[in-house]
Amino acid sequence: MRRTLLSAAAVALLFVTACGGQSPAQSSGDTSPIQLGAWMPLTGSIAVHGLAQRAGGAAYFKFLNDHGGVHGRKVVWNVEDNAYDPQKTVAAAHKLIDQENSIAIVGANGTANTAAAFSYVLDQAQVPIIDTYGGDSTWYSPPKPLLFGIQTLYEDQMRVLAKWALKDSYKNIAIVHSDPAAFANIAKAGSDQIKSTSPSTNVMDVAVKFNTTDYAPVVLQVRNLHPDAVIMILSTAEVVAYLKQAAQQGLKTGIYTYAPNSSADVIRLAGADADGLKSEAFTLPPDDTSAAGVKDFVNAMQKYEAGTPADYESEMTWALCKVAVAAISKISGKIDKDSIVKALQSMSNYDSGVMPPITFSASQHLGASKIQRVQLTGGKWTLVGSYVGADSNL
Amino acid sequence: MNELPAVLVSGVVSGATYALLGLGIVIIFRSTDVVNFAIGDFGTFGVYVAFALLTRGLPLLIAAIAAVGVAGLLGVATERAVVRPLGPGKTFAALVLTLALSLILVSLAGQLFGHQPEPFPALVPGHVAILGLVVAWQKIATAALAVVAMAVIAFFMRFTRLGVAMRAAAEDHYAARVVGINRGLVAAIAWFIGCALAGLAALLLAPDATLTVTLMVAPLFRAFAGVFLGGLESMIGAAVGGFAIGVLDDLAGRYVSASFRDTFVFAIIVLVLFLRPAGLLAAQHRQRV
Repeated sequence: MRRTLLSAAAVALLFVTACGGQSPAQSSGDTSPIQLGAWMPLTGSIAVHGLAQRAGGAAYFKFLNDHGGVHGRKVVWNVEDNAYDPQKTVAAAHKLIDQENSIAIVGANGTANTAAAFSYVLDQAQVPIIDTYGGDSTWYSPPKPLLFGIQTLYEDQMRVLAKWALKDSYKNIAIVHSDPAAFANIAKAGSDQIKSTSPSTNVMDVAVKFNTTDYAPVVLQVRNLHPDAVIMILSTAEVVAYLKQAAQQGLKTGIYTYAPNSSADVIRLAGADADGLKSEAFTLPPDDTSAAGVKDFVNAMQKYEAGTPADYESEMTWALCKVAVAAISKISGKIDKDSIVKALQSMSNYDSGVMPPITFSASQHLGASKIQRVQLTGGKWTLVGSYVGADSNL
Repeated sequence: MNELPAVLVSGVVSGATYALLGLGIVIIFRSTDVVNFAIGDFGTFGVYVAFALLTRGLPLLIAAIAAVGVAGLLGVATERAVVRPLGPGKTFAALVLTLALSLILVSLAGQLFGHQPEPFPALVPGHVAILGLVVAWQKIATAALAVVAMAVIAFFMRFTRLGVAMRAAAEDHYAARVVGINRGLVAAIAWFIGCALAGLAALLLAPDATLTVTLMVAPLFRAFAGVFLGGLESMIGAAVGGFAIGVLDDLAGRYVSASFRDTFVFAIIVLVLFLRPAGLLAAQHRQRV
């Protein structure tokens, strides 16, 4: 009985936190919807990521609005398709801000694409960009006044992967990565980590043209390097293509990839060829609903976005949006860029229920730095240890 | 270990898709003077229809036939509804229209079938090791089909009445009409065969690359390269060009740089076209002036 009451209290507390606590005293009297925006690749070769992420964010905002919104105001999350194209991202930013009056960009996708919109969004329109699915160290060091994020940097994810491969005693490690700078920089972080931690380990760099579909020559090249482990910094479609081709060619190595590829799609498309894949996750496993936050997410996905599986990518966007709304919910007066920044900077150890606690400050605009290691076993992602950071000893 | 044989095998089997697509492009061009940029998307659309049939429990063979048939019929409908009303000689307008149609088809396929990548079963299961490379039987079948299609279509265009009529209609549609060639029928058949070949190429590629709305974008790019390399008016040239592009692409990926595959391939094409503007296997037209 006591356990039931405690669970009920915990769920109630989480609900109040999630919905920002709709106290009438906090209301500014404005009942118009709060407009937020995001850009994502909903078409094209990267759509597999964008569609999952949109579903997670959409489920969160439907859940939020069904539970009263923010201070009684509905929240509208406008998502524009950028087809993973920087120019289309800038056009999407103009539409979201100029036509749809978005007061913040929340849960958008892409490092290079979002960076392409900085000039207009952050400098010209002075609209905050909060919790992008992406980002790199230059975004937060030094902090930009209107830019906040909670996604552990890809470079840090790569450093954890490098340490993991070394811990697994691999001595010849190939890093297979797409050729654009955003991917190459991540690969370099891993290469540097391996060289500094274990100078005797041989690190090999294999750059692949972005969006390659025929992985036979790539796998032949990797096979010729004789690695005992391969770390892939590629899109999900390319990870699948590599895994299938490597299995076909009988290339057996340890295989690692980073958090964006911990998805149901890898299991669905690569099948048994992906078994044993070691990866990372930003959030708690979506198939373990023992945590109340994950249960809310899974239930909302089933209720509002039934056509999309509740997986890591949708769960991360749920978390990205939830953290942003938690900050906006703390604003008692007018919601504008200044009040949003102030609310975010006062956020300390915020528990979204699905990822490690988030803390921002005036000098720290990246709210999270840890990652959960996972491994694909028998068609299911399973946890490996607990959350770790780039400076952790594995 | 010398991996050159394996890389060559990989290139040939990859090039088979480009060869099939290239044949489709050339057969339409030679018969109706239209460069069809939507041909790959017709193929993709056909495979989506096959996927929909498969998910409803129909056998793979029926779904495969439907894929090829749908791609061909889309071609016929396009020729009848979009290209023919333009009238003869509107090559550039037709080219732009097919480009627009390509964008529309990608968007339509996304709306109808979703942008989520889908696994597609192989028509021919299993693998075999050839010169150090494990190759799917599906890819070998693709290569064999490309060679057979090349031979059949070359024979058809050269030695059958209908084939000669198709070439005549492309050469001079007024003269063709005077001698009793039904240009509409010839165009419809050419578009059906060309787009059906694209459907076949997409069908054979989908199990390897997973089915997405952009399935044929990269192969079409390379197929066009093969067509220009071999010659836009040569059936055999288009197919050989497709195979050549596959081999060059894989050689560049393996021995030059995987991130400069396209650069290397297209640098060679520019060089070839500089020396032989009509393509490697096209007839050279010389005029005394």
